[in-house]
Amino acid sequence: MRRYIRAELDRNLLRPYFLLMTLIVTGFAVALNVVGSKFGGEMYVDYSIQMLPAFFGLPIFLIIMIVDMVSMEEFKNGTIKNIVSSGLSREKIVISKIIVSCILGLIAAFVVMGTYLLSANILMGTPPNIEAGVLYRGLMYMLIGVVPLWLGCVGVCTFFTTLIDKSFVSGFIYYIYIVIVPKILILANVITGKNIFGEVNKYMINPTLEGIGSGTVDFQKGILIGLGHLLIFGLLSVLVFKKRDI
Amino acid sequence: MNELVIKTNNLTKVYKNQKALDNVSLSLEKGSIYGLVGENGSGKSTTLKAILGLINPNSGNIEIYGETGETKLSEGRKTIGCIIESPAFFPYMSAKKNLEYYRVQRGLTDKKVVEETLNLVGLGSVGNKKFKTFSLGMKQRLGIAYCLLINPEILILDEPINGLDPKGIMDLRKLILKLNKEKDITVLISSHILDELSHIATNYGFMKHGKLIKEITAAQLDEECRKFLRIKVDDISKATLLLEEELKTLDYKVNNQEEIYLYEFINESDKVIEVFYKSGIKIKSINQEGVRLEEYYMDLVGGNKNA
Repeated sequence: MRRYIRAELDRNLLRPYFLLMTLIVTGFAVALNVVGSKFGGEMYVDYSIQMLPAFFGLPIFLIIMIVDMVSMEEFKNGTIKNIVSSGLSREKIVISKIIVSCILGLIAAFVVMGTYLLSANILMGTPPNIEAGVLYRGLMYMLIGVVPLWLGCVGVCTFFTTLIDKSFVSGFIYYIYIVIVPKILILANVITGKNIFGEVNKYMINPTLEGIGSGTVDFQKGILIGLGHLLIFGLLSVLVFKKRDI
Repeated sequence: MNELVIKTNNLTKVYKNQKALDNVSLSLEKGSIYGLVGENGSGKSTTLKAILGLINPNSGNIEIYGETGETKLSEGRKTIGCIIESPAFFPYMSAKKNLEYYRVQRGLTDKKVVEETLNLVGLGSVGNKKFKTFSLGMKQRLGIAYCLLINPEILILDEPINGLDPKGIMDLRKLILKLNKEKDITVLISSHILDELSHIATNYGFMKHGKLIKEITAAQLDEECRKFLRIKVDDISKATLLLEEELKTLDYKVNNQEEIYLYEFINESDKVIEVFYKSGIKIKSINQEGVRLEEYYMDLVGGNKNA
């Protein structure tokens, strides 16, 4: 399994598709700071830090591309036959895929965020009379809750990729589950007046992400829901893949 | 019988009420080259896929080196090099990068193995070309290179000559024979062209409608396809004596004390007639018989012009 993870990282890490995707998002993040520093009047890095939670939802979409690159391509190209017939167990294949997607997702996320914060520091500077520790502490707590939610997204996306052959369809269903279903639950809660929909919604990834970003949900809940999704959908992926004929 | 490296016991696979495999029990002896023959859709690829763990059979089981159970089968599969249906690689990566990927995945520490294997299949000069630019024949060669990368004990090749030109087919044939003889690699190879397999196979399995309808050795097949003179005479014992003493041959068979199957003098029947005539043996009939490989295949599995 370790060797398969290494081979997959070798294949994907320096791939132009992945590098370009990370570069574009990083460029967008830096551009925001450039615009802010030029036209935003007297602004400091704390402004960029406060802006960051508004982009916590962005990896939801990037994960579709990463999972497509790591998992779906193996099905599309038929190379999954080579891996299954090589004697690596199906459980290990799925777990490896999830681990690789998580690693690539985290690398992309931290490159983008790191560049964003670094460029904000360079372009805007730190505000007077505020210690750096104070500035970043809140963000760190948010990230501790947000990162597991992103990992949960990887689990969900991998599950739909394992279940459905077409990458567009699996990506779309993943999007529906992550983004649309919470909205439907809210609507159902309002229409029916039954609180059960609202309660279920509290355990969905996107509302939790938004809640952490706005400070209404604590990071512990993010860890619980994110890792819960990763575990449940990872397990479902294994079960589906074990039954799947290739 | 030699040691069995792969054995399937009553493998059955059903897709939407249609039996793709129907109680397939196949035995692959160590050191053999087993040709799995059948029409398109007869179940050859499905059988190979089941052996390699790509599909889950509805019933029956598989033994690799006599072991069953998922863990043991996975261990066994690590020694198998295979191409199923068509060689599958990452199209945007070069041949070398693709093999390098599998070198790492298979845990092979010797980096030179990639170059060596590419050279072995004649792709050394195009190793840096992307897989998507390869012709079908080159893709097949790369598939063979992938199989050989791990220094396999068993090779499973599904229709490997598809897309190869005549020289490519000859090269592949030579390579398979070389690997079989020199490295004692057991080969399971499927094709719908019996004639192609007849150059290399030591054993055959014939499939039709998901069933393995016959397993036969190459020697038995030769025997069944051999041409002979079918001679009916009035005195069998005298005739056989003449064959041995006058024509100096023992290559004949007496069938039901009524007729002789003579496997020599196929094109010299006049010589046989003359000897019998001179000795006063009355010849009731003499015909040249025997089936060609294609006819044998057609009789067995029926209806494929490719045979």
